Amino acid sequence: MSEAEAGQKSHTVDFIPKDAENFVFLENQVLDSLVSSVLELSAEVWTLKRRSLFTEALLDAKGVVTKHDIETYSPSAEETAEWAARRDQFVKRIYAPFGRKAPLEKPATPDQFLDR
Amino acid sequence: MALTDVSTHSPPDRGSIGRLRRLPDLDMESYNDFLTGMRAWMFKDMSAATQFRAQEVVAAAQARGENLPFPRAKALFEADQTLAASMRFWISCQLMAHHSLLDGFRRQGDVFLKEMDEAAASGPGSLELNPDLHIPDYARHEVHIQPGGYVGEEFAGHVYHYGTNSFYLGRNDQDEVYLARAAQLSKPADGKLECIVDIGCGIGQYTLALKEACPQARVMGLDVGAPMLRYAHARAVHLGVDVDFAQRLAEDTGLEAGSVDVVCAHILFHEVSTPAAKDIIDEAYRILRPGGVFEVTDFSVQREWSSYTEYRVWADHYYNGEPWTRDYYNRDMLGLLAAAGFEVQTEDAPLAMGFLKKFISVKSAVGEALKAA
Repeated sequence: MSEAEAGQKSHTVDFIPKDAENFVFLENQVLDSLVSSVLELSAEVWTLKRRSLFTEALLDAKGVVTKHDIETYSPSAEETAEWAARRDQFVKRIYAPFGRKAPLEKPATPDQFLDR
Repeated sequence: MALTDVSTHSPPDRGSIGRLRRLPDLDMESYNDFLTGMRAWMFKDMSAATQFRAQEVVAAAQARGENLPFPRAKALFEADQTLAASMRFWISCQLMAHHSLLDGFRRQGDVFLKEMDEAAASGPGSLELNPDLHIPDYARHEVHIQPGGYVGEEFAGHVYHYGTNSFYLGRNDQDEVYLARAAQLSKPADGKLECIVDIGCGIGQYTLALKEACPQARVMGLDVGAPMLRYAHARAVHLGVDVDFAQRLAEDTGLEAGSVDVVCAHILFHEVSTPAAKDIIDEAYRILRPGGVFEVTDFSVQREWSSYTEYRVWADHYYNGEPWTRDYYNRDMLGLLAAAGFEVQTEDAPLAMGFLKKFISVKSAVGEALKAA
């Protein structure tokens, strides 16, 4: 602990915890965990894609960029709107199956195939 | 949180977009940008799918001749894997928002703690903290499953602000919702507006908006959580808004009787127990001057209570850290306000799509007489 941290006063008190990390909703706990993992992976992929968008925009404008340039770049209003739309398309492409209206009863399938 | 957990790394200053300071690093910003998009999709596309599915579940049960009291409906909804998946998505996104924000602010913790310390000693406005304040248990929960809740985590204000930004789908990044509501503040009929007190002010978004809408008034923000108030004051200093923040209970403000023109309680009452609600209402009545207004904004209890709606609101209460919403939805707010002596009218809150109501409660001479009778 640094000297500064040692002198840092705490402004917190004890709290009453909620064990949210251990909630399981799906019947199969592995599947429940898999959904959470896929969400995390999606967030990581979008984080990488967005960094690419920033980097490419800067390269187009400046030719040579530093890490500082990328970290502090402020997208224009047009870029913000366009990249938000791309994000929404990204989310929809990955998660569209979960947006299907699934009836309780699967439709019946034909019982006959070969004529015999 | 152990203060040994905070880092001393100094980030580049990423500036602000209008009123909103950008998150301290690009990856953190992008991760939360993903969550904004994810929530927008959940609120629209996934919600349509789950509503459809819930109707199927209910229709099948009714076709079997079943009544659907709440326990049975809950069991059916919990067993349905499509509906269970929507719950998983929702709670996972909450956890992702909170953890990414908390981890990110802690990575540069020394910087952010120092910012709040320096702001605490400067203006405009003021910050009064009370380390000896007895914080009641009802206020110690991890509301919205935010780690540490409002009282147990140094970066509670930071996490709340950016976590709720993605909940608002980016539509409150410039405090638009709060500014719009403050512009339609329920004011006393005689127009006298010298002192406004915002109780349960949290990170002060509504408090700042009130001062900006009513610059001639003294505006105070009271809250039980020191971390929230430290953030609120630091933000007010950054934005140059003159507000006095104080760590006090809404039910024990310490303010003089009859000294306040308007008391605001914005989305406070669904986060307090019913005994506390009664005490808070009585305290608001005490500190208001005759003709003063108690503006309570909170969830509308008059809604279409389908089986699935009741289940989802229960799920919000049970899984999403809203320990007092069961009290709230079973509480007679109008009755409590009237019993305290207020004359009450209700109207829809601005920019809330009918989900929030304003209980505009006036401390009138009629009310005083009824109370005395």
